[in-house]
Amino acid sequence: MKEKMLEITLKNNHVKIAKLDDRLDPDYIFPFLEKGLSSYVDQASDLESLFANYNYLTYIYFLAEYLKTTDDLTHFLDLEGYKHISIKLTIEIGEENDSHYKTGTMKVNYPDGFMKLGYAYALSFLLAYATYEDDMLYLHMLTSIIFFSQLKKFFIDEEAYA
Amino acid sequence: MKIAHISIVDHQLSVKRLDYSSAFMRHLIYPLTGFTKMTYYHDFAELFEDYRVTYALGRGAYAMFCQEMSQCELAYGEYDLIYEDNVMFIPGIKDRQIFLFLYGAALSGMLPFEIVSDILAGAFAMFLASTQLERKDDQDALYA
Repeated sequence: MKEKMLEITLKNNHVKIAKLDDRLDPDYIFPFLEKGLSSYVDQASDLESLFANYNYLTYIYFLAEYLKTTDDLTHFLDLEGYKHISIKLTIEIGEENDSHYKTGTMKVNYPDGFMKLGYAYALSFLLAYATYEDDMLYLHMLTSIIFFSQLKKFFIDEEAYA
Repeated sequence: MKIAHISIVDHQLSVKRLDYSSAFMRHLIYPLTGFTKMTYYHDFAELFEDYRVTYALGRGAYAMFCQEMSQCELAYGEYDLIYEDNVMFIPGIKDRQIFLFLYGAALSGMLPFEIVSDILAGAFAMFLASTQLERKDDQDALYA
Protein backbone atom coordinates (compact mmCIF):
# COMPACT_ATOMS: atom_id res chain seq x y z
CA MET A 1 0.00 0.00 0.00
CA LYS A 2 1.33 3.37 -0.99
CA GLU A 3 0.97 6.43 1.17
CA LYS A 4 1.10 10.05 0.25
CA MET A 5 4.02 11.54 2.13
CA LEU A 6 4.56 15.02 0.89
CA GLU A 7 2.83 17.63 -1.18
CA ILE A 8 4.53 20.61 -2.66
CA THR A 9 2.56 23.29 -4.42
CA LEU A 10 3.93 26.15 -6.43
CA LYS A 11 1.39 28.80 -7.24
CA ASN A 12 1.55 32.50 -7.92
CA ASN A 13 5.25 32.68 -7.16
CA HIS A 14 4.95 31.12 -3.71
CA VAL A 15 5.84 27.58 -2.72
CA LYS A 16 4.02 25.65 -0.02
CA ILE A 17 5.35 22.37 1.33
CA ALA A 18 3.02 20.07 3.27
CA LYS A 19 4.42 17.15 5.23
CA LEU A 20 1.72 14.50 5.42
CA ASP A 21 3.53 11.75 7.30
CA ASP A 22 5.67 11.94 10.42
CA ARG A 23 8.01 9.25 9.09
CA LEU A 24 9.17 11.61 6.42
CA ASP A 25 12.78 12.64 6.81
CA PRO A 26 15.77 13.24 4.55
CA ASP A 27 16.69 9.54 4.60
CA TYR A 28 13.38 8.74 2.94
CA ILE A 29 13.74 11.34 0.25
CA PHE A 30 17.43 10.96 -0.54
CA PRO A 31 17.03 7.99 -2.95
CA PHE A 32 14.52 9.99 -5.02
CA LEU A 33 16.91 12.84 -5.29
CA GLU A 34 19.90 10.66 -6.10
CA LYS A 35 17.98 8.89 -8.84
CA GLY A 36 16.26 12.00 -10.17
CA LEU A 37 19.33 14.17 -10.33
CA SER A 38 21.44 11.45 -11.87
CA SER A 39 18.87 10.84 -14.59
CA TYR A 40 19.37 14.36 -15.88
CA VAL A 41 22.89 13.61 -17.01
CA ASP A 42 22.49 9.90 -17.57
CA GLN A 43 20.32 10.04 -20.65
CA ALA A 44 22.30 12.37 -22.86
CA SER A 45 22.95 11.03 -26.34
CA ASP A 46 25.14 13.85 -27.56
CA LEU A 47 27.33 16.60 -26.20
CA GLU A 48 24.73 19.33 -26.72
CA SER A 49 22.05 17.55 -24.71
CA LEU A 50 24.58 16.61 -22.03
CA PHE A 51 25.38 20.27 -21.41
CA ALA A 52 21.69 21.22 -21.71
CA ASN A 53 20.90 18.70 -18.99
CA TYR A 54 23.62 20.16 -16.82
CA ASN A 55 22.03 23.58 -17.27
CA TYR A 56 18.92 22.19 -15.62
CA LEU A 57 21.02 20.67 -12.87
CA THR A 58 22.58 24.04 -12.15
CA TYR A 59 19.12 25.57 -12.17
CA ILE A 60 17.90 22.92 -9.71
CA TYR A 61 20.73 23.55 -7.25
CA PHE A 62 20.37 27.33 -7.51
CA LEU A 63 16.62 27.16 -6.96
CA ALA A 64 17.10 24.80 -4.02
CA GLU A 65 19.53 27.23 -2.41
CA TYR A 66 17.02 30.01 -2.97
CA LEU A 67 14.17 28.00 -1.45
CA LYS A 68 16.17 27.54 1.72
CA THR A 69 15.97 31.28 2.32
CA THR A 70 12.45 32.17 1.16
CA ASP A 71 9.13 30.78 -0.06
CA ASP A 72 8.63 33.77 -2.34
CA LEU A 73 9.97 32.82 -5.74
CA THR A 74 9.02 36.04 -7.53
CA HIS A 75 12.59 37.12 -8.18
CA PHE A 76 13.85 33.68 -9.11
CA LEU A 77 11.00 32.90 -11.49
CA ASP A 78 11.41 36.30 -13.08
CA LEU A 79 14.89 35.22 -14.03
CA GLU A 80 13.43 32.49 -16.17
CA GLY A 81 10.42 34.47 -17.32
CA TYR A 82 7.85 32.14 -15.76
CA LYS A 83 5.69 33.99 -13.27
CA HIS A 84 2.44 32.12 -12.95
CA ILE A 85 2.62 28.36 -13.15
CA SER A 86 1.16 25.83 -10.78
CA ILE A 87 2.88 22.60 -9.91
CA LYS A 88 2.05 19.83 -7.48
CA LEU A 89 4.43 17.12 -6.38
CA THR A 90 3.40 14.05 -4.43
CA ILE A 91 5.63 11.44 -2.90
CA GLU A 92 4.20 7.98 -2.41
CA ILE A 93 6.16 5.47 -0.38
CA GLY A 94 5.21 1.92 0.51
CA GLU A 95 5.08 0.22 3.89
CA GLU A 96 8.25 -0.76 5.69
CA ASN A 97 8.25 -4.41 4.58
CA ASP A 98 7.27 -3.54 1.05
CA SER A 99 9.98 -3.60 -1.62
CA HIS A 100 8.56 -0.24 -2.64
CA TYR A 101 9.76 1.20 0.68
CA LYS A 102 12.10 4.15 0.19
CA THR A 103 12.01 3.69 -3.57
CA GLY A 104 8.42 4.64 -4.24
CA THR A 105 7.14 6.89 -6.94
CA MET A 106 7.35 10.59 -7.32
CA LYS A 107 4.49 12.14 -9.24
CA VAL A 108 4.81 15.58 -10.64
CA ASN A 109 1.90 17.47 -12.13
CA TYR A 110 2.70 20.60 -14.07
CA PRO A 111 1.29 22.46 -17.07
CA ASP A 112 1.94 21.22 -20.58
CA GLY A 113 5.15 22.53 -22.03
CA PHE A 114 6.97 22.50 -18.73
CA MET A 115 8.22 18.95 -18.79
CA LYS A 116 11.90 19.52 -18.03
CA LEU A 117 11.31 22.68 -16.06
CA GLY A 118 8.50 21.14 -14.03
CA TYR A 119 10.70 18.20 -13.09
CA ALA A 120 13.49 20.62 -12.25
CA TYR A 121 11.15 22.51 -9.92
CA ALA A 122 10.06 19.30 -8.23
CA LEU A 123 13.64 18.19 -7.63
CA SER A 124 14.54 21.65 -6.36
CA PHE A 125 11.75 21.55 -3.79
CA LEU A 126 12.87 18.15 -2.61
CA LEU A 127 16.48 19.20 -2.47
CA ALA A 128 15.60 22.28 -0.43
CA TYR A 129 13.25 20.43 1.87
CA ALA A 130 14.97 17.14 2.43
CA THR A 131 18.70 17.66 2.45
CA TYR A 132 21.36 19.01 4.70
CA GLU A 133 24.20 21.10 3.28
CA ASP A 134 26.54 18.12 3.08
CA ASP A 135 23.85 16.09 1.30
CA MET A 136 23.53 18.81 -1.33
CA LEU A 137 27.26 18.86 -1.82
CA TYR A 138 27.39 15.08 -2.05
CA LEU A 139 24.62 15.05 -4.66
CA HIS A 140 26.32 17.83 -6.59
CA MET A 141 29.55 15.88 -6.54
CA LEU A 142 27.76 12.73 -7.63
CA THR A 143 26.09 14.40 -10.58
CA SER A 144 29.38 16.04 -11.54
CA ILE A 145 31.02 12.62 -11.54
CA ILE A 146 28.26 11.23 -13.76
CA PHE A 147 28.52 14.25 -16.03
CA PHE A 148 32.26 13.74 -16.32
CA SER A 149 31.93 10.02 -17.06
CA GLN A 150 29.41 10.85 -19.81
CA LEU A 151 31.62 13.62 -21.12
CA LYS A 152 34.58 11.26 -21.46
CA LYS A 153 32.62 9.09 -23.86
CA PHE A 154 32.50 11.92 -26.37
CA PHE A 155 36.22 12.58 -26.29
CA ILE A 156 37.98 9.33 -25.54
CA ASP A 157 38.12 6.45 -27.95
CA GLU A 158 38.05 3.65 -25.41
CA GLU A 159 39.35 1.11 -27.92
CA ALA A 160 42.57 3.07 -28.18
CA TYR A 161 43.22 2.28 -24.53
CA ALA A 162 42.22 -1.37 -24.68
CA MET B 1 44.74 43.26 -17.74
CA LYS B 2 41.70 44.02 -15.62
CA ILE B 3 38.86 41.69 -16.57
CA ALA B 4 36.19 42.97 -14.23
CA HIS B 5 35.48 45.01 -11.14
CA ILE B 6 33.50 43.22 -8.45
CA SER B 7 31.67 45.14 -5.76
CA ILE B 8 29.95 43.78 -2.67
CA VAL B 9 28.75 46.82 -0.75
CA ASP B 10 25.50 48.12 0.74
CA HIS B 11 23.87 44.69 0.48
CA GLN B 12 24.31 44.65 -3.27
CA LEU B 13 26.55 42.48 -5.42
CA SER B 14 27.56 43.93 -8.76
CA VAL B 15 30.10 43.26 -11.50
CA LYS B 16 31.39 45.63 -14.16
CA ARG B 17 33.09 44.22 -17.24
CA LEU B 18 36.36 45.99 -18.05
CA ASP B 19 37.85 43.75 -20.75
CA TYR B 20 36.34 44.40 -24.17
CA SER B 21 39.13 42.74 -26.18
CA SER B 22 38.38 39.97 -28.67
CA ALA B 23 40.10 37.55 -26.27
CA PHE B 24 37.66 38.29 -23.43
CA MET B 25 36.17 34.80 -23.25
CA ARG B 26 39.61 33.17 -23.42
CA HIS B 27 40.88 35.42 -20.64
CA LEU B 28 37.85 34.59 -18.53
CA ILE B 29 37.84 30.84 -18.99
CA TYR B 30 41.43 29.78 -19.67
CA PRO B 31 42.50 30.02 -16.00
CA LEU B 32 40.03 27.29 -15.18
CA THR B 33 42.44 24.81 -16.76
CA GLY B 34 44.24 25.13 -13.42
CA PHE B 35 41.70 22.60 -12.20
CA THR B 36 43.48 19.95 -14.25
CA LYS B 37 46.49 20.04 -11.95
CA MET B 38 46.61 16.55 -10.43
CA THR B 39 45.85 16.48 -6.72
CA TYR B 40 46.24 13.48 -4.41
CA TYR B 41 43.92 12.89 -1.48
CA HIS B 42 44.40 10.51 1.40
CA ASP B 43 40.72 9.72 1.80
CA PHE B 44 37.26 10.64 0.58
CA ALA B 45 36.69 13.11 3.43
CA GLU B 46 39.71 15.12 2.30
CA LEU B 47 38.48 15.13 -1.28
CA PHE B 48 34.98 16.11 -0.16
CA GLU B 49 36.34 19.00 1.87
CA ASP B 50 38.23 20.28 -1.17
CA TYR B 51 35.08 19.89 -3.26
CA ARG B 52 33.26 22.05 -0.72
CA VAL B 53 35.88 24.77 -1.24
CA THR B 54 35.64 24.40 -5.02
CA TYR B 55 31.85 24.69 -4.86
CA ALA B 56 32.37 28.33 -3.84
CA LEU B 57 32.56 28.91 -7.60
CA GLY B 58 28.94 27.81 -7.88
CA ARG B 59 27.92 29.73 -4.76
CA GLY B 60 29.37 32.94 -6.19
CA ALA B 61 27.49 32.41 -9.45
CA TYR B 62 24.29 31.73 -7.51
CA ALA B 63 24.75 34.80 -5.29
CA MET B 64 25.11 37.02 -8.35
CA PHE B 65 22.14 35.59 -10.26
CA CYS B 66 19.79 35.73 -7.30
CA GLN B 67 21.29 38.69 -5.47
CA GLU B 68 21.46 36.41 -2.45
CA MET B 69 23.60 38.29 0.02
CA SER B 70 23.68 35.84 2.92
CA GLN B 71 26.80 34.15 1.54
CA CYS B 72 28.54 37.39 0.68
CA GLU B 73 29.62 38.04 4.25
CA LEU B 74 32.98 36.41 3.65
CA ALA B 75 33.86 38.83 0.89
CA TYR B 76 32.49 42.33 1.50
CA GLY B 77 34.50 44.92 -0.42
CA GLU B 78 35.62 46.02 -3.86
CA TYR B 79 37.85 43.87 -6.02
CA ASP B 80 39.57 43.79 -9.42
CA LEU B 81 39.69 40.51 -11.32
CA ILE B 82 42.98 40.46 -13.20
CA TYR B 83 44.34 38.21 -15.95
CA GLU B 84 48.09 38.27 -16.42
CA ASP B 85 50.53 35.73 -17.91
CA ASN B 86 47.80 33.09 -18.13
CA VAL B 87 46.97 33.53 -14.46
CA MET B 88 43.75 34.91 -12.99
CA PHE B 89 43.97 36.59 -9.61
CA ILE B 90 42.46 39.20 -7.32
CA PRO B 91 44.98 41.40 -5.53
CA GLY B 92 44.76 40.91 -1.80
CA ILE B 93 42.82 37.67 -1.99
CA LYS B 94 44.78 34.52 -1.17
CA ASP B 95 41.98 32.37 0.23
CA ARG B 96 40.96 29.97 -2.55
CA GLN B 97 37.35 29.76 -1.38
CA ILE B 98 36.88 33.54 -1.42
CA PHE B 99 38.63 33.84 -4.78
CA LEU B 100 36.40 31.20 -6.35
CA PHE B 101 33.30 32.85 -4.85
CA LEU B 102 34.24 36.21 -6.41
CA TYR B 103 35.25 34.54 -9.68
CA GLY B 104 31.88 32.76 -9.86
CA ALA B 105 30.09 36.05 -9.18
CA ALA B 106 32.10 37.72 -11.95
CA LEU B 107 31.17 34.97 -14.41
CA SER B 108 27.48 35.43 -13.64
CA GLY B 109 27.75 39.19 -13.80
CA MET B 110 29.03 39.13 -17.37
CA LEU B 111 27.63 36.00 -19.02
CA PRO B 112 24.15 34.50 -19.44
CA PHE B 113 22.99 31.66 -17.19
CA GLU B 114 23.36 28.94 -19.83
CA ILE B 115 27.01 29.78 -20.52
CA VAL B 116 27.88 30.09 -16.83
CA SER B 117 26.25 26.71 -16.27
CA ASP B 118 28.37 25.17 -19.03
CA ILE B 119 31.48 26.69 -17.48
CA LEU B 120 30.57 25.35 -14.05
CA ALA B 121 29.98 21.91 -15.55
CA GLY B 122 33.41 22.00 -17.17
CA ALA B 123 35.10 23.28 -14.03
CA PHE B 124 33.65 20.62 -11.72
CA ALA B 125 34.33 17.92 -14.30
CA MET B 126 37.95 19.01 -14.60
CA PHE B 127 38.29 19.13 -10.82
CA LEU B 128 37.02 15.57 -10.44
CA ALA B 129 39.07 14.36 -13.39
CA SER B 130 42.25 15.58 -11.75
CA THR B 131 41.65 13.99 -8.36
CA GLN B 132 43.40 10.86 -7.21
CA LEU B 133 42.77 8.95 -4.02
CA GLU B 134 45.65 7.06 -2.50
CA ARG B 135 43.52 4.36 -0.87
CA LYS B 136 41.97 2.01 -3.39
CA ASP B 137 38.85 1.31 -1.33
CA ASP B 138 38.00 5.01 -1.25
CA GLN B 139 38.57 5.23 -4.97
CA ASP B 140 36.16 2.37 -5.48
CA ALA B 141 33.65 4.18 -3.31
CA LEU B 142 34.00 7.35 -5.35
CA TYR B 143 33.72 5.83 -8.80
CA ALA B 144 31.40 2.94 -8.03
